[in-house]
Amino acid sequence: MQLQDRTSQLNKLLGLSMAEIEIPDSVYELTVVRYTNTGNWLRTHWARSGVGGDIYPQGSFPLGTATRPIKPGDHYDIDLVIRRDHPAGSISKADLKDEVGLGLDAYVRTGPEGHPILSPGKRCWTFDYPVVGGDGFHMDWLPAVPDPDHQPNGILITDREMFAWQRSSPVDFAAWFRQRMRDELVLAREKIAKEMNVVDVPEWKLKTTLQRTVQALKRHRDLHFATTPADRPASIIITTLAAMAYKPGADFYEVLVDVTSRMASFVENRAGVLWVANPVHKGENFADRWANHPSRTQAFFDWLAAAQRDFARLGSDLGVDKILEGVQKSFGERVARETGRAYGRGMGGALLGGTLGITPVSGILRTTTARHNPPHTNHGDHPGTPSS
Amino acid sequence: VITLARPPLSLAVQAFGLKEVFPDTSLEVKRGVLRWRGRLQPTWASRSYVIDIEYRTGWIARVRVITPSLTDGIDRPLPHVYIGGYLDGALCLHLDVDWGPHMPLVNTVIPWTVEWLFFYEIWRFTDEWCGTGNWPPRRDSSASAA
Repeated sequence: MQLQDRTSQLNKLLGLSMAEIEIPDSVYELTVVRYTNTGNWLRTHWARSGVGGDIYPQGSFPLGTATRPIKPGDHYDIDLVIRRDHPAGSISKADLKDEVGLGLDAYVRTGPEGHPILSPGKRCWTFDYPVVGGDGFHMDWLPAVPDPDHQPNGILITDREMFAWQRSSPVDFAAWFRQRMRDELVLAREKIAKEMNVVDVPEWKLKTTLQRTVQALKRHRDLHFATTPADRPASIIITTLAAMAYKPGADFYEVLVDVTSRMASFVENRAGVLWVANPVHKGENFADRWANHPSRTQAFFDWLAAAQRDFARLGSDLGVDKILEGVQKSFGERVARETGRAYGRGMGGALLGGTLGITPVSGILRTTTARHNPPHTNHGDHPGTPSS
Repeated sequence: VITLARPPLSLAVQAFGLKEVFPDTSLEVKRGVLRWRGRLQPTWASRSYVIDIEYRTGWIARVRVITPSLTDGIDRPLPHVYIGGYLDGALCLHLDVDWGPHMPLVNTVIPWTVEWLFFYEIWRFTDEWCGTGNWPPRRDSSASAA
């Protein structure tokens, strides 16, 4: 029970909140099984085509910044790349999409685990899995070919209108993101290895303050834009700016406030065009749509200001209930309620275990072995009587 | 086996114990009544509460929150408070068996008050009492509802 000061208490509380936003291990493991099974099957299926390729997750899942759906019954979205190694210019965008779609359709017909239903999106294919354990599950398969100008990891994907090829580099972006938090990852790995007494800790078990910060910002964004989803800033913009602003060495709450207050300063102005540079392709602007949608630009900066205000309030409100109200505003009703319950039950357990006592003068509860609180039971609303 | 009850602590000893841990608080012992008034803050992020304790040797201490108002912004009954009688509105901190007059208030009633305030703040938001005791209180079928 970390209760040495207000900041450590807040970090303890917000740690419980972030655990509620995190993808459960079971969902993570199921995701890996599903895309590995699909990938292995497709590799065999396409083995005789003479065209090589690769299948891998992209976006928030490999970055460790994915979040649970806000409401039970909503679905997880997992993005994956299916790269087919056709030589540049040898296949049309429509043919590529058809080829991938036929492969996925053949896989679905084998009746694989989870029985996904295949449907076409604007530029990708979606596996829609029936709801299990309260939450749904979508996998979006994005067809791609190698980008001859950015090897070994660059890919070309189609735009949403199937009009032009777009550059993408999810593998290099993930490597850049991990590099930004390298020091903290090393420390986190050592800490968990020691705690769990294991040598090899899988990377997805580790969570840095940067990853938590991105998760917190995304959740705040999802709530802020619940009624205006068209104006919602893209996760890649939030992730990039947060990673650029991130400085290691502090606890989660300090990093969250610091990153949120400085990330706007990493939006460049290139000859009048607002630019969020892809860190691995400086010429690519993640915010290119802002140019045609001024309202989105304003919505982004308005949201960031609101997030700053809301996060700052968490650090100044008096009353645990007030802080939980702030958690509700920033991260949602379910998260706040579960945070309060987990915090109260954790404290109840510590009190029963006799590890808490009060601080002289203020009365503040603290971890102690000296003046621990004796056991007792809060009673009901009986009329008062003298003790015998 | 005959169990001899331990002798109760005098009001002066109770007062001394409180003064030792909370030197800047108001304390008065007059006509067989001990009255303590001080501020308690359960955690760093909690409010600071002005608490009034009235104690007569051998009786349950009457512990009341003076400020802030516990019912501000709340439209449901408070959990674990006494209703009616001398203890009306006082915090219900323990069962009769948990406490005896040989026990120092500063080591029992005060920390239990701090705990009560901690769980109260959580309850304000979650509507769930995470401390000990049943709430709402369980009643025998023969007992009449309050």
